[in-house]
Amino acid sequence: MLNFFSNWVDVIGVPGEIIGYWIAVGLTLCMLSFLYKDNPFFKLAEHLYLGISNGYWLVYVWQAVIKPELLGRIIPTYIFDPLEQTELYNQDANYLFILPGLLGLFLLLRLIPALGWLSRWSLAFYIGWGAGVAIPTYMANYILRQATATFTPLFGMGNGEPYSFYINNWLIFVGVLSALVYFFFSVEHKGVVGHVSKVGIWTLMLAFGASFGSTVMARVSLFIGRARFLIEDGGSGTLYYPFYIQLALIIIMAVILYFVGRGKGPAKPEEGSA
Amino acid sequence: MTNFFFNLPRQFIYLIIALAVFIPIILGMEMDVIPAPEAEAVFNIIEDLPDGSVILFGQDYDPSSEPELTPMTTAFLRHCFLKKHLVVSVNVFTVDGVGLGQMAFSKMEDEFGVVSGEDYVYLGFRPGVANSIRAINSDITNYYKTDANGVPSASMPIFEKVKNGKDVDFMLSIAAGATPEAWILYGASESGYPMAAGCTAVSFASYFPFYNSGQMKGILGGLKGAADYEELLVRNYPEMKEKSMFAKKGMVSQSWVHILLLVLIILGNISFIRERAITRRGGKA
Repeated sequence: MLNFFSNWVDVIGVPGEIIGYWIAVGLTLCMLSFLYKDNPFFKLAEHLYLGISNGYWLVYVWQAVIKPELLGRIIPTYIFDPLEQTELYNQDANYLFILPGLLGLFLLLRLIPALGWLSRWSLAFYIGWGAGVAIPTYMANYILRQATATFTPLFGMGNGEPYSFYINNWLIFVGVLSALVYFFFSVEHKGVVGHVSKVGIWTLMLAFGASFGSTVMARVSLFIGRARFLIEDGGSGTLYYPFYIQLALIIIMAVILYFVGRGKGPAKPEEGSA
Repeated sequence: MTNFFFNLPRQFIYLIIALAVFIPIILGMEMDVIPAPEAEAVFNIIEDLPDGSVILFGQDYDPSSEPELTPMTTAFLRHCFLKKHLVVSVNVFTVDGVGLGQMAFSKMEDEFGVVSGEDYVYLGFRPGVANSIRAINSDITNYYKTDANGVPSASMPIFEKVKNGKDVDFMLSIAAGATPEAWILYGASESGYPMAAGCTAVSFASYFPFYNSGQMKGILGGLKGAADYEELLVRNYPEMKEKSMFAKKGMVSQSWVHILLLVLIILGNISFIRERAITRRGGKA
């Protein structure tokens, strides 16, 4: 977005990059305003994001995929510039690409109920190809390699490996075994099986805890990134204005958003209305 | 006191978290970063490869993960270009990330004077994760007819040295989703190149089985992974101290928030236990 505005220079005597920056600041504050409560500014920013993303998708896929990679291979002389893209212009037409093009079009025919059945051909081809490609490599990389990685030495301390090596191996061994027992439902979880499956639950809880901790860290990182953007101009580290002016403007924008957005959120359902 | 914690408005918690994030950035505070072994492993591979090696770089993220993964990308690309490696980059995740890839390489052009088509090429996005990766295994320019800017790829000097996945010396996928697994399944296992992943902190824990099995040679996890890489870069290349190292700066805010959250969790639990005890005694909380 900033790049777009950087090309749009001096519209009102202010470099376009700065206009883009302040629009981005405003939209950031609109998004953050959701933390207070749902409001029209958040909705506006949310819808803008979705709209711009979809528009970008459409244009990029047409320009970088459908035009050069599909139409360009079937009718290159109509698609490419003979002077700027000479090698692509001169390539031989490959009419085999009509077939995937048709399969792609069939997918869109779901929008026409009478012809919707044709989309099943495309899906059948896609699923068949996907399964054929994925199953052997899944077996090799997800099951065999991962199973092999659990066959680790559990004994032999004093052979030069640090103690932590054996502790890790024991943790992997016990953790994998107990988690597998927990998911083994053909036997009632009583006695030894019950105890082992309890260890399995603890292993799973530890894994979930690690994932949750990482997720919290990730969300905080995203906020840090936005904070950096608000303070340091999108990561370039160059302030357009002295920092105190920038901070004052951000606070003023936040206060305006607060007061204008106050009371404009969706009405809470009245008690008993459900 | 118990009621105080239960009745605390959530906006108050947001406010103190915001202060914990903003204050260190405004004051420009920094802290020491101790690189994790799995981040060091990635750095050492790039460092030990002979100059001019071929690096395949999956820039597999979009703006929603930009704060975590752009600092990682910047640090990694700086390292590659300091070592004069050739970088072939694609995005197999989403179209939305292409602009970020172009910005990252444009920054590298400014910093290192690298040239598109000679020192690096950014091929952008094509739909289909598996077929894009498999196409790289066999013939890159036959699948990616143009780079992300629409420039024909076949005549680029970089592709005189890099024809397909067999010519790749190392692969890193910096990813917001599960594309590193796809790179293992369809890329590394078929072409045989060593690979590593850079991921958001959310995915960090889930990639350790691949690190333990040796399918990934290293992992960069979230902003901390980026900070680790920046730290290693500064240690080995003192001239990099002059560059903006955002992930390291972000670590102070990250640590403050983590401490704050720990305190809040402990206080919340104390309040909960205390209230439960009062209720059991028949009193009013």
